[in-house]
Amino acid sequence: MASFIEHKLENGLRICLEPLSHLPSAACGFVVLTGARDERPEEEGVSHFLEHMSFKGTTRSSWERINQRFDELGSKYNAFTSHERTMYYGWVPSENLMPQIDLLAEMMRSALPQEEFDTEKKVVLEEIAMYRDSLESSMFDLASKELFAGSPLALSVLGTEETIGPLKREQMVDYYRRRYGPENMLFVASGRFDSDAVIAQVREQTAGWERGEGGRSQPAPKMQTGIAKQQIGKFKQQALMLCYPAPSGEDDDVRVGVMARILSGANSRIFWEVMQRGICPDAGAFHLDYNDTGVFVLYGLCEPERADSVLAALREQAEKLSADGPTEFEVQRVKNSVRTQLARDGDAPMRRLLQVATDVEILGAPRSLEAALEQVEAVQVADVRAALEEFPITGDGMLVSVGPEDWPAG
Amino acid sequence: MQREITQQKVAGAIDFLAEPMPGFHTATFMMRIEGGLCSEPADQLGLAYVIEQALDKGTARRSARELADAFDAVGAQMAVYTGRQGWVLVGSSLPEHLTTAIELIGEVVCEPAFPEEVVQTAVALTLQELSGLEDSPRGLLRRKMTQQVYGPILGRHMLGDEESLARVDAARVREHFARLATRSAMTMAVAGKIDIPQIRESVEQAFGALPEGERIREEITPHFPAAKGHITKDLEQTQIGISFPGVGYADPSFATEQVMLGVLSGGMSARLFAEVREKLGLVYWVGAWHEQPRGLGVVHVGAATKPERCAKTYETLLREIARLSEDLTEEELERAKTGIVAESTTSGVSVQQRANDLMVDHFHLGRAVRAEEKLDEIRRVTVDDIRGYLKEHPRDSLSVVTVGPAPLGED
Repeated sequence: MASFIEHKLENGLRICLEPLSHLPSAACGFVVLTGARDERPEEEGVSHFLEHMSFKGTTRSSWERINQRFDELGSKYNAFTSHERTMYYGWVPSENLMPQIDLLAEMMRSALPQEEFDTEKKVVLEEIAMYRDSLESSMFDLASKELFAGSPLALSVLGTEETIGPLKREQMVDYYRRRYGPENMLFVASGRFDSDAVIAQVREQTAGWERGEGGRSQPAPKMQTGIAKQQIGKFKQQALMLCYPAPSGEDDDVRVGVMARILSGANSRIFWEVMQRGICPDAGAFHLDYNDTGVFVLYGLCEPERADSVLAALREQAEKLSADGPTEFEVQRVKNSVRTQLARDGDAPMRRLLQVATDVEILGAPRSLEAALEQVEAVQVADVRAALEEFPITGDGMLVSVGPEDWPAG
Repeated sequence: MQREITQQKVAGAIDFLAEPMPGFHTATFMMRIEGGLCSEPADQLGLAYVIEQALDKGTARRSARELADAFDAVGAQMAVYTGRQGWVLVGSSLPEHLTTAIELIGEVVCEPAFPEEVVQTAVALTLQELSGLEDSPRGLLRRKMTQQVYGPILGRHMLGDEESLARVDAARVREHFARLATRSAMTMAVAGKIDIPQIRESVEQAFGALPEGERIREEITPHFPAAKGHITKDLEQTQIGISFPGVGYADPSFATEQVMLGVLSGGMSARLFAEVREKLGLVYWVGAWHEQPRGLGVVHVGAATKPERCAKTYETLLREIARLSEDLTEEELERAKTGIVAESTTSGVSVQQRANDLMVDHFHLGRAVRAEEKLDEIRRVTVDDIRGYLKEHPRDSLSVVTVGPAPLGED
């Protein structure tokens, strides 16, 4: 399949392109290597608010015009913000890729109009309210606050009413100047296009960009242990997460991904031994990887009176896997399923775009589907056992609980 | 991209549709069995979803785990979904394993074991999901909107209710599924990198032993009372849903409705997003969508906002619904059409999406339709068509639902 074209512009912007010439479309985007962990405590939520504001007007285009231009291109477009990155993307029929690049590049130099800032602040406050009505979001919010308490990873991506409410446009401008320099960004594209023409277009559109401070020098946050709980009476279910230190994104440890799939998802241990035993309808495990740290999470959402049973059942599965290791078939079935998934990704420019962006950002280079498959194919039972020894998922860890009950008691 | 669509009867009575997609790296098999929520006996609401949960948990030949392992042995995935008027089963795999996936799905459909223990677990989990739904404001809104608009049969929710679920047992599950799972009640669609004769043969082998039966279709009476409903919940935001009658999928003005919906809610330049969110900052979520049970159509508009801004948001939504017939521009029309047409080269280009399109077309029209044929209908829609549509379908019978601390007018 494809090989990659990588290029670095004079202004420091890195470009990575993955041609998929059998498709009629192309997806592209700018990744800004910035997020909640790059904020000062008093500007908590500014990365995400700025992501909204990037759609709200430039020196050349009003917000109406920006939205209209996206829609005139027939684009599937959006943006998202996490603790570590902010990404803006559009997916268009191939013939519209050049104007899509122009538009995204223009937005990366937003005028941040004051009037729009005031209106959009209300939208962000509505978004915060929406997430506060969600049990899962409340669980994640508490988890990220407590797992890395005292570190920048504890800041909430959306911010709070207390930080967004008083936030001033000048603070956003200051953050923007620090973080949105071309040396702190990537441009990625995946799909059918002429690579030389794309590079030339990106060069032209970003030629005048001034550099910022960029970078991130923070010690790797250390995961806390203990119990974090929040009683919220309006919810009907209890949500719990059992967390353990795990490899970081930079460690690129594929064994942990295999471990998660043995424990969670279709035909997994938690599916059969927790859900299909009727203990709760929603439980699983996943690897939460930040660039320089990671967490392995076992979780369940259940009726409050079942919280003890769910916790016990999750612990039992973790202990059993740690003691006996996986079976040959379990490791093989994960490989088979990854093989099908990767084949599907090869036909899906948007999925490839997100993967290429992540690989370039965290590992410094893109990884082909073939290479990704090879990496998973190499994992053996002994490797998963070794990973479980290096990164144990038994013992106390950190237990996060949100729901109507003050659980666990004490 | 012009591709040939095959449509024929297989195994005597099964409607079979296939579209090869050269260059793609996977294949999808999708099948629909008529039934679903509308087929449930009135005292066993939730039965269709319990069938979904229990269907792949064992056959006459294999235990639930052996079955799951057999799919995993070739990296194939299977999922079952419950709809208003049927169940849909989807199998995806690498092209070389599609026939294995079809054989396994055949075993699931032709020889399900539905052990009592499995059915009881499915019932217990459904009851827990039902109580979990209380934590989903949007889920509660949708359930109430559906009940209010469609009435007691089409408006059923897949999780049923506690009282009904208590009556569901393995005997009822077996009897109900066996009555409906016949060749005449099945439609199958295959897309991706496929060899049609080989797949047709697999289908014949896998499903040929089922009784021919007959296609049982519940008579659906359209139901659309103007109504206002509210669910009181301690929430930070109030969820608002407004529904009004639309047209069915087979209606000649369906393409016009699609474009009208694009004008209202197609992208960020569409009216709802621009007016309610961008100009006034009233909401984070606002949108419009439509749905089509067979022979019917409904348009929904939804938004969520803090209670103190609920009245203003509701008024703005009503104004936008009314304004549609007043000042539609050519530019808006073109943008809406571009969005729909472009989707056919972006998110519409997937093996699974194409198989789904074939199924949907067949469900409503009785035939598969080339993607290009539908796009031409979109391209032909004019401003006058939309004005005509709006005139013929006045939006004066609104069904309104709110979920939040207080009903509209009392916040």
